[in-house]
Formats: sequence, structure tokens, C-alpha cells
Amino acid sequence: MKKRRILAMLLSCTFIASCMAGCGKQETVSDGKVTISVGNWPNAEADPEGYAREMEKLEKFNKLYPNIEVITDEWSYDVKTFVAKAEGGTLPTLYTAHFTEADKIKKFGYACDITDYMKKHEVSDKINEYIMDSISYEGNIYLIPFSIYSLGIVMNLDLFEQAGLIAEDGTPDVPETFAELAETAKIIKEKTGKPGFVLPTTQNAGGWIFTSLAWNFGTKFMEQGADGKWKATFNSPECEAALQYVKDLRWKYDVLPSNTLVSNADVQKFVGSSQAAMAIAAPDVVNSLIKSYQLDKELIGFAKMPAGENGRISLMGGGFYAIEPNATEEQVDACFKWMEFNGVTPKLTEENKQTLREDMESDKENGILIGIKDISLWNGKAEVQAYRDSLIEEYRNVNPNHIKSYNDQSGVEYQAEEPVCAQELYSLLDGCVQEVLINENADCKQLLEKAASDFQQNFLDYE
Amino acid sequence: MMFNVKKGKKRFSLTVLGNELSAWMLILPAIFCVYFLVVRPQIMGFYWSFFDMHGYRVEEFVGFENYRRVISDTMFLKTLINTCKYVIFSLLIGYLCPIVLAIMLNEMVHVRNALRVMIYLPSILPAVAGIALWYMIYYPDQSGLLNMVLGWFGAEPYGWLQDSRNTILYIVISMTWQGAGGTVIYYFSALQGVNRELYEAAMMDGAGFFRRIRIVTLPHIAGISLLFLVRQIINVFSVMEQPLQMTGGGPNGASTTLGLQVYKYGFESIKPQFAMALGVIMFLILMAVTVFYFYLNKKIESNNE
Repeated sequence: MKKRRILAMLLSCTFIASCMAGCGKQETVSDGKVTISVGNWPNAEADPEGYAREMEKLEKFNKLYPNIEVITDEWSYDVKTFVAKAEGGTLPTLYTAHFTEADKIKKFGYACDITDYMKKHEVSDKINEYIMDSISYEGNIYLIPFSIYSLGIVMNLDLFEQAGLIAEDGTPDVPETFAELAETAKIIKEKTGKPGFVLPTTQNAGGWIFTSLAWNFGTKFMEQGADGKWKATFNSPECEAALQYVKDLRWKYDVLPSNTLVSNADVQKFVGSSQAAMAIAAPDVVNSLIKSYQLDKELIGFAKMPAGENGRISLMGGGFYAIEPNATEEQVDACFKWMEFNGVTPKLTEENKQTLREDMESDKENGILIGIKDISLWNGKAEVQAYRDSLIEEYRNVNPNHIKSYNDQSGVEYQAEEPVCAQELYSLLDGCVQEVLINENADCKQLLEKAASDFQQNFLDYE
Repeated sequence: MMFNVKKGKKRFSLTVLGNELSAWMLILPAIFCVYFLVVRPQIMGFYWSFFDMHGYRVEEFVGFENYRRVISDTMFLKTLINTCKYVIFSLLIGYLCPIVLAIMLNEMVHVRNALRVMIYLPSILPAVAGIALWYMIYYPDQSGLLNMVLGWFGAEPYGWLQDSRNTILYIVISMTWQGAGGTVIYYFSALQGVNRELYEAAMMDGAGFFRRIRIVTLPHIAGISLLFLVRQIINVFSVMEQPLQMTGGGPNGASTTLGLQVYKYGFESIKPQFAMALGVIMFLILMAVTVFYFYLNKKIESNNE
């Protein structure tokens, strides 16, 4: 009896102890040494090359800054865990996220205010003017962008080839306007039997792409009145024309896949496995086409956004670094050292020149498509941009004609995401896009009236 | 206090305490888990649903404002009706299915074990894999399994999940496929507990197959089937993964549910206060169902006596 009781006690104590083992926080500064944790670290088993590359970098960094200890953290931004980690104070000191999440991070204070630091180290005056809005909130800077792009058209050149839409020098017949896009898609459908174009429609991706498309038709989604109140303004003829265009892609031109519930991942699958020829996408998509769907990089083309009646407008997106809000000054400094070492800040040093070159070499070895240029992050005052571009030219591993249209960004106007309740807007627009794709008799005007009134009542009225 | 009582009593109390102590120590981990993972989140969720929040940070008390916003959302009614449709379809299809399967298994003499394994197999599959499987079965072009079969008969491919009138029905069928196996096992074991002599007696009295089921089998599984009725309503009422992964709540909101809306409030819009308010509303509806269950259960038990 007694033995059993002791055993029970032991068991429960062990259990409780094991529950508690996860608690406890790491010291950030000890013996003059600053400790930071860096997120997005590659997993040694899942991505051995990436892991080896990062560890090699870390070793060099440690030699350069022996007083900074970097703890690697495999956590990468994830919508389900982010807020909980931010509130619980367990975010890595330095983490990255996508521009679509920037609003939330700035608004809820999940990133450290780095205005002073950036001023002091002359970083902020080198950032291009049109990016400032995206990285600051109420006049203060919170984010450090590392790559900025605009949406474009990703093309499966295998299908373009089959449809006879590629010139001898490899230049694909790039649609310059949305009308041409529909025509090109139609030719591909006729010649190959495969859908010429694919649009995402679920998980807010449908709305995300649709807003960007609709800007080109002159749509204004919302306006702020003099009293500060927001008003939904997309129940307009312009937005109707954009939605009608999407509807025509399905019913008039018949160039979309028969599956109309398509997620962003599905879009990649369609293009990557030659089941669709074109999609509106961010340039980072090309590498997942190569990695996940083994699409030959010579079969990928990338073009700038086609023009609509209202001009050639494209959504600006990208990635940024953020430093967790409770970081100390020493930690912020250490994070900047790490970013500088990686060539993320505008300062060009011998060390980061070498890092950038080695990164490029490892990308080349890993079969990543090199040649697509980001929008310039830094203005003429930063040497790092010129160096990066020269490296891209040097290491380019595809026919430049495949991506010529995108790299020549002439005529493209950049626009940031809709300012408030963007995700909620996307969700409502997902529904509109789905409806016009499944219902031949859908009334675009009525759908948009309802969506705009829902958006106003459910969200904007509370902003 | 205890030590002031008579000696005999004291010994008795100590033993009881001793016995209880080891029992308490044994259930302590469970209490710990249940408290931190179930009870506390529920209580705090209820409490915080009356507060405004900034991200996950609790700000000020706002009374029923969060409830007002959740209920006045123009999609609320549609979502509630959708959720009820899931429950109704799942009761029509999913509720009877395991009972019929269990009775079939019980009556079978040959290949019973093989069939038992087959029926249980879908339940072993991870939920996400099952959902992905059905996604491909319902795929709207020729590469979908069902459309491939339709193709053999020369029929045009059908949109399945894209047909907004029936999306919920098709999702419920996939849920039944995956969920029924586990339930069959419970019914089957209940049926195994029925005394064979009762069947024999019924047979001697000239009862046919269906009459035997009605007078012997069904009364014996009445209790457990009532329990599963309530469990099913509760489970299906909070369905979230299937619409999220198969349709994203579409087409145009046709398959969205309260559970999915809670997820969207909580993770997409980072408005946990609305997620909690809607969670409490769902809790109250399910509470009413559960109370009704206890009432029915009591009735059945008193009938059995």
C-alpha cells in the first residue's frame, strides 16, 4: 500500500516537473555578451544545404563580433502562432514577415520602434520614399525591409512554346494589357487545351489578387472622409468592370481551370505542373515552382503587371525584418549588426560583400532562379543595391528574355495594400470572385453592392 | 480538529485521508491539465468576451458590445443556418450509418473481422489526409475520382463542392466516411454485450430479422445511441477543419460555419474578443442541447428500470 502511494506521488511529481520544464527565460546580457535569437533558421534535416550555409555564416559572424551570441530559432512567421508568441514574449529577437502582415505588427506594437536607431546610423534617409509608408506607423519606423517586389505575371513557358507564343530569342509574347491577357490565354487554351490563366479564389488570396487587378480598372476600394471615417467605395462602375472581366475570363473566354475554389498553393500547383499557363503572382513564387513542382527554371517567365484602363498599377509586397518589442538597445544594435552582415542594411562592407556573393553562389548551386530584380529598396545613396544588382547580372542563370518584361519596370505604378481591414475586404471579395466564376448569371453590380454594404456595416463603421 | 475526536475515529479519518491523498495525487496531473487546458480557458474566454482587446491584450470592459457586433454581422444568420444544415445533414446521413454498420457486423458470421478493420481504417487516417483525399475525390474536372466515374458513363464533369446548393451535403458525406468507423466500434461492443439468449428467445417466438432488431437490439443500444446523438450534434456544430480545407467556406460563403468564423476572428482578423463572444454563443446553444440530452437520458433510464 505504502509503496504504491509513494509511486503515485513520484509519478505525479515527475509529470508536474516535466510540465514546468518548458518555462523559464533566457538571460539576454551576461558578462558583456549580448544574446539575440534569430528566427527563420533552416532545419538541419529538412533543408541541409540552407542549414549548412547559415551555420557557416554564423561562424564568420561570431569571429567578427565575439561579444554577440546568436541563438538560432526555427520559428518562422505563422498566422496561428504569431500573436500568441508576441504576447507571451517568446518571439525571436529578430524575425521576418510578409508585407501583408505589416499592418497588424505595427498596429499592435509587436515590433520595436527603431526610428532613432535608423536615424543615428543613417539608414532611414537611404530607404526609398515609397517604401516608408509600409514600414512606419504614426511617424515611427518599425520594420526593416529586405526585399520589395511588385506583383507580376508568372508564365509557364512550356505551354507558351506549345502555343507558339515564344520568339526565337526566347522572348515570350507578353500580354501588355488585360485585354491582351485574355486573348493570349485564349490562344493557349485553344492550342494546348490547358487553361491559359488561373486565379486564386479562397483563403483571402482571391480578394488580394482582385484588388490589385481592379486598381487597373480605376477602382477605389475605400476613402477616408474629413471626419476620419472610412467609406467603402467599390460599389462603382470601375469595380464592376473589373469583376465583369474576371467573369468573362470564365464564361466568355473560358480560359480558367474548371476548379473555381483555388487557393494560392493551388495556383502554384497549376502553373508548376503545366496545368495552367499564367497567373498573377509575386516573383518569389518562381522558386517554389522549381522546388515544389520541379519545373525547369528555363520554363519560367515573369512579366510586369498588364495595364488596364486606369494605367499599370501593381501591388507592392515583400518581406521585412522586425525586432521584438522588448529588445534592449544592445540587442537592437546586435540585430542590426547581423542584418548588416547579411547585406540587408544599405551599408556596403567587405564582409557583407562577401556574404552576398556567397549567398548568390549557394543559391546558384541550389538551382534557384537568379535574374529577377526586386524593386530598389534603397535610393541612390546606398551602394548595396548597385552591388546586389551587379551580382544578379553576374550569376544570372536563365535566358534574360524570359524575365525582361518584369525587370523593365517602366510605366508601373506601385501601390501599397488597402489601408484598413484589408484581410476582411479580401475575404468578402473572395466570395464575389467565387460567385461570378460558378454562376454564369451572377449580377456583378448586385454582388459588389452587397459586399460593399457588408464591408461598411461589419468593419469600416467600427474603424 | 481531527485529533480531538475519539481514537477509533481518528484512525479511520487518517486512513481515509491517506487513501484519498494517494487518489488525489494520482488525479492531480489530470486536474492540472483539465484546469489549464479546458476549464480556465473557458472561464477566461467567457469573462474576456465582455472586454475590448488590442491584439491579445485585454483593454476595457465593454459589456455586451462584442456580442452585439458578432450577432449584427450581416453574415451571422447565414453562418448559423449553415451550421445547422451541417448538423441536420450529419444526423440524416452520419448518425444512422454507424448503427446500421454495427448491426451488420454483429449479424455477420464470415469475414467479420476483415470488414471490421476496413470500416475502422478511415478513422486511423489523419484528419488532414482524409480531407485532402476527399478534396481529390470531389475534384471538379476529369481528374476527380467521382467525375472519372461519371466520365465512364459519358456524363459531363460535375462541380461537386462548387455547387453551392449541395456543398454542405458533400462535406458531411466526407465527414461521415472518416468519423463513422470509430463510432461503429462502440456500437459493436454494445451489441456484443446483448445476451444471445434474448435473440434466440425472440426467434423461438417467431420474430423475424427486423422485429428482432426492434425489440431486442435497439432497446439495448438506446442509451449509447442517445449519447452519440448528443456527441455528434456537439462535434458537428463546431465543425471547422473540413470547410476550411475543402472549400475555404465557399463558394461565396455557402459552406462557412460558426467554427470557421471563430477561427477567422481569432487568427485572421486578430479580434479574439469576437472569437470568444461567438464561442460563448455556440457554448450556450450546445448547453441547451446537452441539458435536453440529460433530460432524455433520465427518461430512458427510468423506462429501463
